[in-house]
Amino acid sequence: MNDSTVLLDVRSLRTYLHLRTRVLRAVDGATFSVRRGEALGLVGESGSGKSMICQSIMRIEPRPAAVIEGGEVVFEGEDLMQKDLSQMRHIRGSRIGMIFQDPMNSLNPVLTIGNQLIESLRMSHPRESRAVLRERAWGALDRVGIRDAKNRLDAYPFEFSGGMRQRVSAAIAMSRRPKLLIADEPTTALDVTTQARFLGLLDELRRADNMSLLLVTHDLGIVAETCDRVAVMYAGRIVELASVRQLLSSPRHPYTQSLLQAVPHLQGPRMRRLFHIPGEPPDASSRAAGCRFAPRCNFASEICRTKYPPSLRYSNGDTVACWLHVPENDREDGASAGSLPARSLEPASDTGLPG
Amino acid sequence: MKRALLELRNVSQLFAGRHRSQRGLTQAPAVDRVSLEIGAGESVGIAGESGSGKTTLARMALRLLPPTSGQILFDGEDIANASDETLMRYRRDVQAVFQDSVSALNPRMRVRDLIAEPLIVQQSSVGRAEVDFRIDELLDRVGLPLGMRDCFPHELSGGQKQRVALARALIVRPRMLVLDEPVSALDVSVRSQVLNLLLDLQEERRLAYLMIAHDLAILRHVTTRVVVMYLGRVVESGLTEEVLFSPQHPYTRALVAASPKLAVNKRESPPLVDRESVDAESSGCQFAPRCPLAARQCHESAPELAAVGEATDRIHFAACHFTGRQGI
Amino acid sequence: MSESHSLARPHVHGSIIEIIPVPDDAPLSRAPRRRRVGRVMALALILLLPVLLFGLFGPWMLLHDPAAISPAHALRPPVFAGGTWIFPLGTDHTGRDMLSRLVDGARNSLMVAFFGVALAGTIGTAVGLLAGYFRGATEEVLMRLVDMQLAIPPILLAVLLAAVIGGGLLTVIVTLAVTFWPTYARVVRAETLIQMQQDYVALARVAGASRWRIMRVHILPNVLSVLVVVATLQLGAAVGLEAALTFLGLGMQPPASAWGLMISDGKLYMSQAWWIPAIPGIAIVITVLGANLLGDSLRDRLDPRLRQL
Repeated sequence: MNDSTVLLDVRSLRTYLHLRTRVLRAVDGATFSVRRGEALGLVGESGSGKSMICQSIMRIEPRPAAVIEGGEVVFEGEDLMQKDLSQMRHIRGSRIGMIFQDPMNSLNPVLTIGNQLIESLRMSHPRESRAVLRERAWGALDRVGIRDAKNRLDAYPFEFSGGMRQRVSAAIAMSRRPKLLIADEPTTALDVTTQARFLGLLDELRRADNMSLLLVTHDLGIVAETCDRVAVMYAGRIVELASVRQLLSSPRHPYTQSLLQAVPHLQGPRMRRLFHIPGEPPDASSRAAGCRFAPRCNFASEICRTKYPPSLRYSNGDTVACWLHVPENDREDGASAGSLPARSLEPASDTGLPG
Repeated sequence: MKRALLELRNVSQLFAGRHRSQRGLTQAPAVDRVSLEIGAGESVGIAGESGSGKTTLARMALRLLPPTSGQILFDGEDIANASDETLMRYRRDVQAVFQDSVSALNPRMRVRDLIAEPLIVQQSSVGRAEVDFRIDELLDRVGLPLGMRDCFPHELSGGQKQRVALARALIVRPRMLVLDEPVSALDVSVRSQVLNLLLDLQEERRLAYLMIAHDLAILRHVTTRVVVMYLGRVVESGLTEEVLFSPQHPYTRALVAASPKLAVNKRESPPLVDRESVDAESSGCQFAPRCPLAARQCHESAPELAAVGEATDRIHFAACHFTGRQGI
Repeated sequence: MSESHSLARPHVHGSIIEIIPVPDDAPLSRAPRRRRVGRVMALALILLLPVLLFGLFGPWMLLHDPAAISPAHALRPPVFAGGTWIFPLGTDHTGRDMLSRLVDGARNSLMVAFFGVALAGTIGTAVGLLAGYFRGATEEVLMRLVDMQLAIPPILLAVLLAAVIGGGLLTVIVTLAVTFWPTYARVVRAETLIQMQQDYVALARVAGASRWRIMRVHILPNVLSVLVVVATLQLGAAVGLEAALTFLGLGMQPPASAWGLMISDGKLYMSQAWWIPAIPGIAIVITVLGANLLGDSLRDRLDPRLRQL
C-alpha cells in the first residue's frame, strides 16, 4: 500500500470530555485512514464517538470540556494536531470541508445564501471582485442542482427546504475544492427520497473532483450504497475497517456481524422475529477493562473480558480488533500491552484459527 | 364481515396544526379525505415522509385533534363527537407510544408514576397496592428491572425509556396502540429489541397496532397492511409485502427505491423529477410535479383510489391514472 | 427470550501484516479539570448569610434595644472609625445603636420582601398558567392586563395606595405584589407555552388526564425552576423597592426599624455622621447583590440548556 494514496491518517486519536462530575472517553484510541478519491464510511451508534472524531480532525471540538488528549491526524503528510489555530483556519474550508447534520442550524439565517457562498469563496480568492465571486457562487449553486441558481443567490435560508439547505451547505463546503469532505450525518434529518438524491449528488461531485469523503452515519444501508470502505466504531474505538463488499459478505468483528443481522431490511425474507443484540452500548464514562463489546458478544471468552484485543492490520489495509482473529501463538502474550511489540508477519495463507 | 375496531371515514384536517408542512405557503389540507380500517389484533402501518400528514392522522385517531370533517368510529361508536363517558372508554381502549424524544416522558416524574398515570387517572378508585402490583407486572413484562421504579427518565437509555412508555401505554389494558415512530430515535442495535417486544406483546394481548414510520423496513417487519400517504392523501394501500415488493404508485416506487439497502453500491436513484410545485387549488394529482409518468390528465384530474393487482388480493389500492405500468 | 437466529463464528481470513496493541488505560494529558462548584453561588451565600441570620435570629442577637433613645450616646462613630465596641457600628442621632437597628431592620425588610414576592408570584403564576394553557381570548385579556400593570410606575402606585390605606407594612407588601406579578405572568406564560408543546403533555391527554391535572402535575413543576430564578432576582429588587418606599415615607413608619427609614433619618447627617445613612445603604447593596448572584447561579444550574457549560 503506497503512502501517497493515503490522504488522511488518523492514529490513536483520543478526545475526552471533561464534565463536571466525570470524564467521558468519547474517542478512545481511534485509528483509520482515508485514501485519495475514496469514500470512507464511519459507522457507529450514539456514544460511539463518531461525531467527536470529525470535530477533532477539524479542531473544532467543543472547548473547554473537550480535550484532544493524544494521537495524530496526518493530512497530506502534515500532523494537524501540531498546527496552531490560525494554521487550522487556513486548512478548514480550503483543504478540508465539512457538512453538518442539521440543515436548520448550519446556515446563518440572516445572510442570503449568495453572501454566505461569497464569504467562503473570498478566502480562496481574496483579490477578486465581488462580481466575479458572485459568478463563482452561481456556479457553485448550479453544480449542486439548485434550479434558477442565479436568482436564488439572493434568497435566505428559510426560503429553502431541508434538502435544499443541505445542498447549499454542500455547495459552501465544496466551493473551495477541498481534497477531503467530512459529512457528519448529513442526511439524518432528511426524508428518505431527499436523502437518496443528496447522496447521489455527493457521489457525482466527488467523482468530478476526485475528492475524498468521510461519511459519518449510523445507517449501514447508506454506507453500503455510497462508500468504498467502512470503519465501524464502538465505544470510542474502531473495531473493524474493511471494504464494503468484504464487510457485507464476511464481517470479521462480532459487533459488525450482529449489527448486520439486527437491522431490519427490505431484502430477503420477512422474519418472524428480528435478531437482536442483548444489552446496550456502553456508557462513555465507564472504564471497564477488556473488549468493550464483550458483555454483548456471543463469542466472548476470558481474555476478551480482561484485555482489550490488539488491532490487527491486514495486507490490504483492513483492520479488526478482536481476539477471535489473533493468531493462536500471539494470544498467550496477553500479559501486558507494552510487552507485545508491533510485529510484521509475512503474508501467510493460514494464520488464523480454524474456520 | 367483522366490524373494524377503528374506522376512519373520509377524515380531513384543514389546518396543519403545530406541525409545519413542507409545502410552504399553500393552503392544502394536512389530511385530505383519508379512510382507514383496523381490525382487532391487526397491525397497520402508515408510511410517508414529512408533510404526508401521517402524524396529523395519528393525532386525530387519538382524539388529540378534532377532524375538520369525516368520521372516526371505534367499535362502531362515533369518537369525534363523543360524550365524556364514551371518550373515557376510548382512552382506556386506545393508548399511544411516541418517538423517544426529550419530551416523551415528563422529566420530573419517576418511572413508577409515569407508568401508573393512565391507571390512576382513569380508575381513581384502584388501591395503591393494586397499582404497585400492576406497575411491577408491566416492568417485568417489558424487560426492565423492578429497581428502576424510582428512576427518573434522564437516568435511562433510549431503549429503556421506550419500554417505560410501552409499559405506561399498557397499564390500562388497551385494545389498540398508536405508535408514532416508536424506534426511529433509538440506536440501531436496540431497535430490534423493541420491535420484537412489540411483536410479542401483540400476540399475547391481541393488540391492534397503528404504526407510523418513515422507515419502510421497520413497517415491513411489524405490519401486515400498510397505507402510503403523500401530501395528506392516501396514494396506495394494501398488504405490506405486496405494496413494498410490487408497488403500483410511482411515489411508492420512489420510496422503495430510495430506501437504503444493504447491497454494495447499488443505489437506485429514486425515479423522481423536479418540476414546479403545484398550487393547492389545482385539481390535478398532488404528486404530478415529481412524477416521472405524469401526463396531461394527471395535471387535470386527481386520481381516485382504485383496486389494483390480482383479483385474489382484493385489498390492494392505488391512486394513479397509470396503475400497472412500470414507467415509460 | 427465544432466539430464532444464531450467529456463526466470524470467518477468519486475510493475511495479517501487523499487530498493534491498544493500551487499555491511556493516561490523561492532565488531571481531569474539576469545575469549581459554584464559585458564584458561594459568594452569593456568603453575602446573604448575615442578612439571613439577622432575619431569622434577629431578636436574639440584639446587643441593645433598637428603639432605645439615649441622647447621651448620640452620633458615636463605628468602631473602625474611632468608636468603641459597645456600639460596633456607631449610633444614630438619637443614640440608638446602629447594629441593633440594622439587625431589626433586616427582619422587617426581608419579611416584607418575602411576602411581597410570594404574593406576586402566586398571582403571576396563576395568570401566566391560565393564559398559556387556554390561549385565545383568555390569553389576550390577561396579557393586556399585564401590559397595563407594567405601565404604572411603582412609586406612583405606592403613593396612591398610601393615600387610601395609609403607609406601613401592608402598603409596601401590596405595592410589591402589584408591581412584580406581571413579570411572573410573562415568564410563566412563556414556559407554559413551551410545556404545551411537549409530547408528554399530549400523552397525558391520551391517558385521560383532566386539564387541571395536566396543569398541576405536568406543567407547573416544570415551570417552577424558572420561577425560582425569577423569585430570587426579584427578592433583591423587592428589598431595594421597599427601602425606596420607606425612605419616601410610604413604607414602615417610625419607630419601626427599617433600612430605608435609617437612610431617610440619616440624610441630614451625611457630612457629620456619614455612617448613619451609609451603613444601611451598604447593607441594601449587599443584600441585593447577593440575591442577584444567587439568582444567576441558580439559573445556570437549573436551566437544562445551560447545564452542560
